[in-house]
Amino acid sequence: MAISTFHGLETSLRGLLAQQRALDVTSHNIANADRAGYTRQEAVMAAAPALTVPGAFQSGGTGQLGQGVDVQAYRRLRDTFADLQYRAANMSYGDGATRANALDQVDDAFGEPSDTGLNAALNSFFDSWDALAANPESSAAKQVVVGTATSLAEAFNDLDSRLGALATNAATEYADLTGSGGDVINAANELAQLNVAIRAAVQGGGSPNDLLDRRDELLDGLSKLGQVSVTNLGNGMVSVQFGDAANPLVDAANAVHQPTGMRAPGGKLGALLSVQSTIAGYRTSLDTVAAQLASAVNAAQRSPFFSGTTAATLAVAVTAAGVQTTASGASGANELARAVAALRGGAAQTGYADLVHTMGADAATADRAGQTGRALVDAADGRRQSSNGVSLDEEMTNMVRFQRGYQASARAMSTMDEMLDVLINRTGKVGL
Amino acid sequence: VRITDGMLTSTSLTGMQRAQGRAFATQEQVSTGRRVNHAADDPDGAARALRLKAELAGVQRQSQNADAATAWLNATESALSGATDTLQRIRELTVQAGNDTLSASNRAAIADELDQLVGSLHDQANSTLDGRYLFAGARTTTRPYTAGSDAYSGGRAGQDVVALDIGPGVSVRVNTDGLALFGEGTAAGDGKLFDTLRTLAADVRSGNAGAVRGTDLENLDTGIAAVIDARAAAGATQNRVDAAKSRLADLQDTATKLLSDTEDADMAQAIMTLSNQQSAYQAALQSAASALKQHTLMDFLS
Repeated sequence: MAISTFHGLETSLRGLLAQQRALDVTSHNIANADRAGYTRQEAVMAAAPALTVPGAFQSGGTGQLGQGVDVQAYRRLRDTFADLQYRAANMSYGDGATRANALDQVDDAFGEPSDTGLNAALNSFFDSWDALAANPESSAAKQVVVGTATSLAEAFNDLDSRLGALATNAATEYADLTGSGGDVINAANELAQLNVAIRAAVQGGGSPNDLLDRRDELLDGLSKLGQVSVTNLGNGMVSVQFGDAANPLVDAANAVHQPTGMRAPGGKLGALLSVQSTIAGYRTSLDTVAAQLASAVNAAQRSPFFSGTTAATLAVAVTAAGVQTTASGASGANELARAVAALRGGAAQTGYADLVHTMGADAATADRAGQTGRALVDAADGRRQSSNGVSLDEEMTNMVRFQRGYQASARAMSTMDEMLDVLINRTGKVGL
Repeated sequence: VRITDGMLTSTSLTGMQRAQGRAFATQEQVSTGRRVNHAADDPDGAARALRLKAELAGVQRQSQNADAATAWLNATESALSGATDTLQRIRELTVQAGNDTLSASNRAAIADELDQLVGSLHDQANSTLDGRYLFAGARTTTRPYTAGSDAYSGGRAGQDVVALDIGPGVSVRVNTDGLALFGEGTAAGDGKLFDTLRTLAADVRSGNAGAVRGTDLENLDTGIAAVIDARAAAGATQNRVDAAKSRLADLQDTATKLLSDTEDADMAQAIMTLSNQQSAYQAALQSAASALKQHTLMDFLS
């Protein structure tokens, strides 16, 4: 079997085209080099199917004549295991960072240790009783007692309402993220659309690299919010289970379900839920402190001085005239004032110090968890970028490689052209 | 490891943020002078600081109470010292009046002076501190003896104690019982100072010299001894207060030192650390700057 005279031209042409495609991919990589979530791509080149040439050799053997190179696929160089690691780390980071942030705000609300916090208000309160005990005849001292008691009650009310507001903020943020129009459902809807587009591209034999990147980006984003487990359905689509929701976020039929009834979704959402119960615990402890204070002072006064038994409702029930210094009726006697002053450093104050200790320890733990999470995410991201990311030096090297390949193919083509020139224009012209 | 351009930027950014975060935390310590600025900085320390602050506030108040107790006791002492002087003069007159040879006019003159002196003893029994009657029991706003009457209108049993807390769980009675000392005059016949003195004046006037140098003088000496005892008791209380005050000062020193150890920053160390961290931050900045603008192959390809 004879080989076409123009075979070499076709081979060179394939080379030219393949190098050109490879350069296109390099340009794409360079253009996206600084975009987060982009996965570097490469044009996978392989030798074009060889021609089987019977009787190619004098011995009569069959030869295989190469036909140059073809681009077989545009491949995404992604390490899916690194994705799993990254998402696991990102989930812990979302949890730790959110918890650290919320408890930092709680810490600020307490504002301890300081000269303005609840502890300082307690000290001023007891100071005023001591001052009254030293001057039981003074109505001004009674006025001061009512003033410091009111400040103290307001400090309780204020701290409780701040803590309540922080819990409400967490609840609102959770509802915003998981509700309709929230980040989770938006990501789910986009995932479903991408699923359809990717399936179509895969069925058409294509490799929708940039759509896959976008899908991975969405899954990365979701992994910060909660536990994400992805099942590859084999046709280019994925189903996604999110948190501990009853239904998959995106199911096998590509239907989107809003996540409901989650208790421990992990990630940021998990932290937003757990932080609410943590704050509720602080408020209960604060209520206990307020109740202890009120009942101890009321018992010492032998009449209701404080009304209310929770931090939110604690209030001063008396005016200056109702402040009791003594039960004896003598203006200089002070046993009831001293009884209240003696409550300084008592159950209410130690209870409050214990509460601050618990809160501070929680905040410190959350802060460390957030920092550790950050370090782990950075490490996982580094590993992923190491395999997925674009290295400009590498792309430059490839660019030179493909440029040279292109030049060489072109040279081969012009050599072929000169050969044909000899054959066509000079052959059979002997003596002309 | 394959290094990509994205890794360079994210590593630089992380490095800068960490270095800056650490310097920020130390900066807060230096600018507030405190090691524990939030409960989360050191939960144990924060709780300890709260307890120490409560203790310290209590100690400071009790120290002020001790000062108030000292003022009471000083005022009591000076009133009783005045009363002692008066009583000494009365005793001289009593000894003089015990002489059988005195004429009626002499006796009348002595009796008049005695009345004057009893009047000034009245004033001393009505002594005040800051508008509060020292010898009226706990009814400190009621004048115990009105002019010209020995009737007592201060606080009696159940209303007789003025006490101040001068330590954790330590209280001290600062007032002296005026009723027990001065009594309610002849109407009550209680044998206290005013009763004794009124009887004495009457005996001098009536010329009963035997009674004057006998029972009257005895009763007067008993009264004087009672005043001296009261001064001694006030002095003993003052010693207790002084001891309590120096104990409170020790407690205050200890608590202040503990509080400082707990929440104050070691400035020398903090500033040193801060300067190290600032250097580290600058190094991070420099390395980031050079990483971000470092050459790529591109710069060398023509």
